[in-house]
Amino acid sequence: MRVIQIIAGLLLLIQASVASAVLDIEIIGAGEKQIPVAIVPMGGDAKLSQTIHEVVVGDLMRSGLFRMVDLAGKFLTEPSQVSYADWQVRGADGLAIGNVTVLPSGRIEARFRLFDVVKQSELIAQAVSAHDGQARAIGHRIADLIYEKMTGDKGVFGSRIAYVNRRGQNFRLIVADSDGYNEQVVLAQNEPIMSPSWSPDGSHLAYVSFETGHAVVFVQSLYTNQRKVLADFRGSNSAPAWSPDGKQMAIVLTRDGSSQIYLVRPDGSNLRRITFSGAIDTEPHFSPDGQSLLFTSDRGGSAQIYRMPVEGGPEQRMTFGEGANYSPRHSPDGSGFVFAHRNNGKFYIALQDFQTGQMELLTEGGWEKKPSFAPNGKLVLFASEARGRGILATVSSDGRVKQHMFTQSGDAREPVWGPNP
Amino acid sequence: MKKLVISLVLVNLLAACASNKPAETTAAPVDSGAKATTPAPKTAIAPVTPVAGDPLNDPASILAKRSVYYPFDVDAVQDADKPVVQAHGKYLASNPNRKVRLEGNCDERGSNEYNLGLGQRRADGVKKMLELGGAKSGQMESVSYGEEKPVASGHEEASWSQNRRTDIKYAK
Amino acid sequence: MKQRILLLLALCFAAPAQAGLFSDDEARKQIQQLEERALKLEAAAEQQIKSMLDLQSQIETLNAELRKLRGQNEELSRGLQDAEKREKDFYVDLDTRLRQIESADNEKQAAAAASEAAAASDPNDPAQENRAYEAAYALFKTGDHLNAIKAFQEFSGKYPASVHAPNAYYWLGDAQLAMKNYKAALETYRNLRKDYPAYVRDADVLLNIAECQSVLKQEDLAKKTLKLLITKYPDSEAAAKAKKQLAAAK
Repeated sequence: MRVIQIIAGLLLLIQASVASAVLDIEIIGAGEKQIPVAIVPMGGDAKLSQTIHEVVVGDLMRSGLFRMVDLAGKFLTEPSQVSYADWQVRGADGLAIGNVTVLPSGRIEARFRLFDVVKQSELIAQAVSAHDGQARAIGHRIADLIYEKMTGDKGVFGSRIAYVNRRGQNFRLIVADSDGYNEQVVLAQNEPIMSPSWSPDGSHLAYVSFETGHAVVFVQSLYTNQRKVLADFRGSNSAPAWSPDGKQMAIVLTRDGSSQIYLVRPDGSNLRRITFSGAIDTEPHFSPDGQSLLFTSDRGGSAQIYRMPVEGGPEQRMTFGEGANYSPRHSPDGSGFVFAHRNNGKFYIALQDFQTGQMELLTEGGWEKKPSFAPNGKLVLFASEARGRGILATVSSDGRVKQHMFTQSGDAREPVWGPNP
Repeated sequence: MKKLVISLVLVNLLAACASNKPAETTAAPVDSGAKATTPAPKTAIAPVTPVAGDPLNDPASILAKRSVYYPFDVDAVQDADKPVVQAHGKYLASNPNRKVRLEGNCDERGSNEYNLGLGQRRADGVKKMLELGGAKSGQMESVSYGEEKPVASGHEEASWSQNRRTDIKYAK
Repeated sequence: MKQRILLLLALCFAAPAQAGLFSDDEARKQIQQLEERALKLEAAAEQQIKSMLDLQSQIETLNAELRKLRGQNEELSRGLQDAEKREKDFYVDLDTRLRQIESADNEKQAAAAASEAAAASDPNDPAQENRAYEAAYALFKTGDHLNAIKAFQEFSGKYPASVHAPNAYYWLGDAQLAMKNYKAALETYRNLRKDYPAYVRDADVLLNIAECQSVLKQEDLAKKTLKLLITKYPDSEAAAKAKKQLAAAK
């Protein structure tokens, strides 16, 4: 019995080390205003506490909006031990403490408190629990609670991302936590996979797979892993996008000539064409109100961003000036869109406001493509390149904080941020 | 019944002609240039399997070239590559049992989706040209890999120029 | 091809009946003629294929040309839209200003009527000072940089102690910058910083100074200025731009 326990423990250790080796994260830059917070490691189970602490600190740091206050060896777990004056001296605005235990059922439970040091009041007292082995999920939940309380914006650390990992001829469609950990392989094969797209409720992924020898759109359930073909016409079938209510999808087909945009129900019925340009019209993305689409088209001789009503109608060109523009995605508040801008041999992540029509570059440029917003609109996830490899990266939507995530091996491509759980 | 008799007579007659005047009716299949694949009447009537000496297997034939290359963000077959596509068109016209897959590819500049569209347009352009040259649309399938299957992986023109390509792939 | 087959058929049926009449040579001659006709037909077909291919490439060229023209059209209509909007803004602006002047004139006339003894044009009249500044600024805003420079210089000479004085310097510098008179702009900005060290737009002034220095090939000074800007106003937008410029210069 004892031996089994030890072996199980060893296995757990190995698993944990594998999981933590998946990603290597670099953070560059800092937010304009950083909120100083003291995050005290929780009492109770030491290993769980350490994991949770790493996740909470990592999440808050990556947002660029927080600064960690040195604990100077202080350790406390109960509200009665809180001395506001102590933390005021250290310059903390917020203080987080708690306890983590494993319940008899095997579930992990963290009791967590957040204090406003300046106003000397308790902001949150909450118990967060999760399945056995889900300590990271607890960490993300706590980071979200702190983020929401201290910034007033909704947190996104509990949300998930999807991307494609390419190693030579091997392609894997991966779903992971917002920090890139906890990866789940949705599909692995030796033919390309591209353009993953989340259903608005996060239950399904649509994507393009070349497994049958040409580009075909599939829709796959993340719960049952069952999948079905959404579009398999002659030529290429690609660029799936979901309407905000999940009742419609936009896809791109070449069955009637060059790439054109079609609407279809997620079950494949009621297919109808909505662009008629004879040029390449692709990468449709629904506005948050579901009324209009942004898309990429080369009808004007170079790839540019256009906007049109979902049910068809006059298309309006949105991007002008030097260079070409690709992969538009609306911001969650609908005020603008992010896209990939190519100019002078470099790709940049750029943001444009609908009102002013002004383009703003969020990055210094390089090999940066395929941006998508976090559900709260504060961060943008995109594909980048560093040390000769395709990596995932984020930039805050004000362009101030950047983060690089390296997958264990191969290239990370085609990332897309999923909805909040 | 009558038809059968007629065609038998015809075949006999042709065979007789051919045997009488071999020098004039047998086109040399190995010639390079546009005339190389002019179908001999014999093969137009009774072709089932490609005979030995199929120009497709001749490394010196223009048909040995199976790729068409493009400038950046362009999908029209360039003048330099037109004879290649035309030769394949003629070959397919005279070998209606052969099938080809046209695979459009792009360099990595552009979004994956845009490049998928561009690659498809490249492959479709070659398909159209083959069709005009006499190939039947049932003999051809055009697909695109966009930038997903580069043959060269560098971030410079030397690699990119190899990746901007339509491959003409014959089914075995 | 069809014709050829028909001819051959005719030949076949005719052959047994007239076997004695035709010699081998005759038959060979006939066949040769048929061959020649067939070759001619083939050549014609080839010619047709060639012209269709030519047509296809012409269509492709035209399509590309059409796309390019469409793009130019989109850009032109966007430019036109912008120009229309600017014109409208300008008109509204002008109209508002005219109204202000008109009402001010009316007031002035009333005031003049009320006290004839008062000086007609008091250099200390704050209303006049405001109008002079606003007139200069209006010139600057409409893009008439040459006259804006004159107006701001005049203003600075006339009202050296005005509350608008630092702003007048600032816009003067900007107008000079717009006219690509970098030396003059640099001097204006320097004077501004000397006379009004706590000026609210100091961060932007520093950024503009760096621009002038950079154009005037004083790269080291430009870098110094940008660094000063970043340390002095780390949270400003100008500092963010300065960081980008410094990074780009490396």
